[in-house]
Amino acid sequence: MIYEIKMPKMGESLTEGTLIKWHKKIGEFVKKDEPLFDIATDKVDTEIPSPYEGFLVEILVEESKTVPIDTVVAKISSEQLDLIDITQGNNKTYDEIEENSSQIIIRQEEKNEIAAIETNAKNNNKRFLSPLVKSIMQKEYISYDEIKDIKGSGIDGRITKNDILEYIKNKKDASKFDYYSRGIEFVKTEDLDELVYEMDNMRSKIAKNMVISRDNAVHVSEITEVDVTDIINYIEKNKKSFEENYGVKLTFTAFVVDVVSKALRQFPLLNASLDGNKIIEKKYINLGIAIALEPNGLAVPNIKNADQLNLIGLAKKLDDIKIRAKNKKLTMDDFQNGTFTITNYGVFDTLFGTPIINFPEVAILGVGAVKKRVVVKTLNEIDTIQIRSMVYLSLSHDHRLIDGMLGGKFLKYVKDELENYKLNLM
Amino acid sequence: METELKDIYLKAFRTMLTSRLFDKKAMKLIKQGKSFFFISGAGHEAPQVAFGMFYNSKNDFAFPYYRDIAFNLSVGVTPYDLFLSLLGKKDDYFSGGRQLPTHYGAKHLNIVSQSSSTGMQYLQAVGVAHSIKFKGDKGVVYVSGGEGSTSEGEFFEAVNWASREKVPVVFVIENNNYAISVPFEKQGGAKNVGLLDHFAGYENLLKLKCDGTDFIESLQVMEVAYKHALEVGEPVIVEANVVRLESHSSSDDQRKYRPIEELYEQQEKDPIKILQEYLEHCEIVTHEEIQKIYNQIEDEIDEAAEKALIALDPEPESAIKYVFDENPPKLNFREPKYLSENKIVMVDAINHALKEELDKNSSVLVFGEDVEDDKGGVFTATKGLSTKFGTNRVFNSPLAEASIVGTAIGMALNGLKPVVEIQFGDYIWTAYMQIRNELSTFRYRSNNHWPSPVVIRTPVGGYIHGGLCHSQNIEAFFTHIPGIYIVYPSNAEDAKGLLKTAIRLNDPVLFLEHKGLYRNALASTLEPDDEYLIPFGKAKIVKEGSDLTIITYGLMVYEVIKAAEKFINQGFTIEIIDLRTLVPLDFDAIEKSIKKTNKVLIIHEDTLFSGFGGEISAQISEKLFENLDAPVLRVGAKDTPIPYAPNLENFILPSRKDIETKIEYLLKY
Repeated sequence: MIYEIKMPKMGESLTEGTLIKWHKKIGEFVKKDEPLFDIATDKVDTEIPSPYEGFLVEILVEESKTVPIDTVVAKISSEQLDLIDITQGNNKTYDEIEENSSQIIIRQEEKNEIAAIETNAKNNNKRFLSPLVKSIMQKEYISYDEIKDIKGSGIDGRITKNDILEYIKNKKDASKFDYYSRGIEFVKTEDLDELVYEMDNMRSKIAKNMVISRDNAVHVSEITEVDVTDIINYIEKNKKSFEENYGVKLTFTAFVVDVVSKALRQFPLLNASLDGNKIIEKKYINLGIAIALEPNGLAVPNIKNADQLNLIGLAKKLDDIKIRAKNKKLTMDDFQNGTFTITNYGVFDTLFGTPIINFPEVAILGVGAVKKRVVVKTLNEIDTIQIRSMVYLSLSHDHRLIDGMLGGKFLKYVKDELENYKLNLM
Repeated sequence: METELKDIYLKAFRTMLTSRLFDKKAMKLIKQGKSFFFISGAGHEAPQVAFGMFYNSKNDFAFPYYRDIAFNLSVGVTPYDLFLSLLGKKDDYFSGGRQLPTHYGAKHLNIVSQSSSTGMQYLQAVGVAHSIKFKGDKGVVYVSGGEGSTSEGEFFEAVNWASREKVPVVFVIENNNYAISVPFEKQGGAKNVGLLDHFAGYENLLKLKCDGTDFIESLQVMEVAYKHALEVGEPVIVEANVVRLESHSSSDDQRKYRPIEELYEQQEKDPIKILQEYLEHCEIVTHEEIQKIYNQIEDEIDEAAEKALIALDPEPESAIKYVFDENPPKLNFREPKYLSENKIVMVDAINHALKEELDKNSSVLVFGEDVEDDKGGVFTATKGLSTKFGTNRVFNSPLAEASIVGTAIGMALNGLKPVVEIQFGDYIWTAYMQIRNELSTFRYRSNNHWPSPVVIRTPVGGYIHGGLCHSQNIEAFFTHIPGIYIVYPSNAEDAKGLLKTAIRLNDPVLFLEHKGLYRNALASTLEPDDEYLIPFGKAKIVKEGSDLTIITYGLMVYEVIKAAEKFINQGFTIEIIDLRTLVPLDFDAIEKSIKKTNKVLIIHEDTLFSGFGGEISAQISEKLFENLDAPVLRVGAKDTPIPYAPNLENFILPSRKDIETKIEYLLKY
């Protein structure tokens, strides 16, 4: 039995829909109600569950094609069929075979198309990029994946300088609409003294990422207060010899990074991501560090496997990414596969904040300014007033995965570790 | 015996002994690992010191070869100076530690910096003598060499030029019978005749011979030689038969190739021993006094060596200095004023540049093959010049390219400005040794004391059905040499402005003129004025564009313009850069253009393999890698000699189609 699957009508006024993604390949078995494909329409974007159980024997509408409502997009057979190529010694026509209906048919042109797509995909992986195109990509923070679908205008489809510049321009135009103003048009009614200019690529990327994070993660923030007097004194005392020995400055951030790496081992859910209903727990800890860039930018490179480095190694890594961020020498690799982010707005003397999660990560730790404050300490059961170096730590986390309990435990762990840090690295 | 003569003998003895003891100490230092190379002068001292007795360091010039330690000591160089050179010290005024030991040179004593390429010095010495005569000065040029170096063609060329021009030079050939390991009789085919017999037909050449182991005889002969050159102003050749008491150099062992009896026998001919015996015999000095002199000199030598050992070494960074003039004359570069509304062809622009510079600067000399009127050069570049300025300043050379460049170097060393012509670039190769080892190294090897600013003009290039030896492009052989500027103009205006700049700089310049442009209408321009100078190292943007950069020079400029037109008509814009000077290379212009176009094509007429385009391409890859949106491509001749038949020649040399194909590929890429 062969079933036809049609483009559904997802709203009264709709006349067409775009097929976004196939979840199954030809020949694959699909259960009833299992996601078969995704569509996008003017009203909704949704996953379509298979109305039948069986083998997907024919795909009639490619991904990203828009077709009228009720168009047959695929066929499902209740029986498993052999794969036959009609061009290979089989004289039966397509219709005959279809009537016979005991075999899966792949028409020759389809086969060519698939082959072409596969070759393309292959070529894209190893696609030649000129030194110039590569350097433009690096400057604009464009990954290889991102451009693999661009069709180049050069010899053999090579991506030329003009192709990549065009791509960047289009991307900027697109991000302007989607992520900056959300479609609201600003109408200029009078000649006001305003300076209007395009966002640079970094700004538009930040804008886009912020909107994505806000729209997807359910943000909640918790704040704790940590006594870091011992660490601050230690840094003060040893900063000169540390710099002489290791060539880099010892900073408070290095201690935070060290403790957070340990904490993430204890609380792996804070080092995870969500993919629909799936939780992806990452076994690697790549700690993102938010770095402010003059005049108005931000980069979040990450320290790979931060938990495997000691304080000295971390201080060196922090110094390295800071310098490279300033000199625009960060590479795509520095940005990929981050698992958790630390943002130190304390350097601007801010006491505390409620940072936005670096999506698809699920949590971010904000570090405030270290301030001397009068605090009450109980010594030998006597309450005393002391002057201590204090800092507020804020944890924003995605409430879809992490509740107050886990967030609180995590923060408490970080607080305890910082207050009792074993200061014996020299 | 007159006291004066006694004093001379005694002074000579002291100098000869100083030379010998320096020799011994130098070998000791080498064995102790303090230096690495030395050439002994033991056995050669007598004729050197004899000539040194007459040498006047104010008016005379000296080209002492590597065995002339005693000559140097006799004219004012001290043992300490010799040690500084031996040890490669900072204050070594021969070369600042740049040259091997025993390569002399002292500006304040008019001792010209010497190289290792023995035999090359003769032509330069003749050039200096020529300049002394030209200036009307009174002076003598001393040039020495071993008998081995007389096998070099340049030696014959030098004696030939000196005799032709009748100039005051004394060639002293110190014949020790061995050129390293080859005995004199094996050097040539003329059996049973002496060196001097080779020049029997040269009537203007005074030929003298002396026993160079006998100082007294040497002194008498050198007096005749020196006075003849000074008073008569004509050349002299002296063959001084000497002995080589030590091996060729510190890297040689003569016991391996000389009969042991000969080595013993020659000890008896030791010139110091002979002079000592004479002095004792005449009771000028006692044996005890000799011993005292010996000890005294030995102490002086040891003291000088100790002092030199602790002298400062040169700073490593100083090694890159003085390849070129570091304080070039301040020339006034400005826009041209045009002399008339009529265009002139390139060869006439060159002719006018020469004429104007001859007129403005009386030190300028022009010579080469066939440059005199009425011929005025085979391409007429020098037409009218000898008529206007006389054959003292514009004259024919013998048919000998090494002579042209070698003598020009000598003239330049003495302050003249020779602008010489090599008739075809294809024949410059006999002068290559003079250009490579001498001309372009003089400033560097003398630590800036002896610049040799010669301008060499030569026609190059093909497309004229000239066959293998009238079509060559030679630039790549010369751009590889540090210390010489390479100019290659593409039109009349540039040729004039660049040649005038070349003549006003204090560095050697090779000025390449494409024969196919001499009378080509494409290369004709309005004529710039007589003070229009073009700076070296400034390329010309022939056409601006943003889709592709083409770097070229010479005749190819026009092929490129025509090839590019086709694509410009299709809506592309192409930037064309005419380099004008290859050394210095205007990489700034290249960089600026490629940062705009991101694609580059390099075109030259010369063959591709190891061609100059390879250098440009390499620099682009090194410095502009991230600016490239396409591979760096080149067009050049196929890697063969250039054949005669037009269809063969056209197949080999770059064609417009070759250029178009590469342009199209890069535009599409």
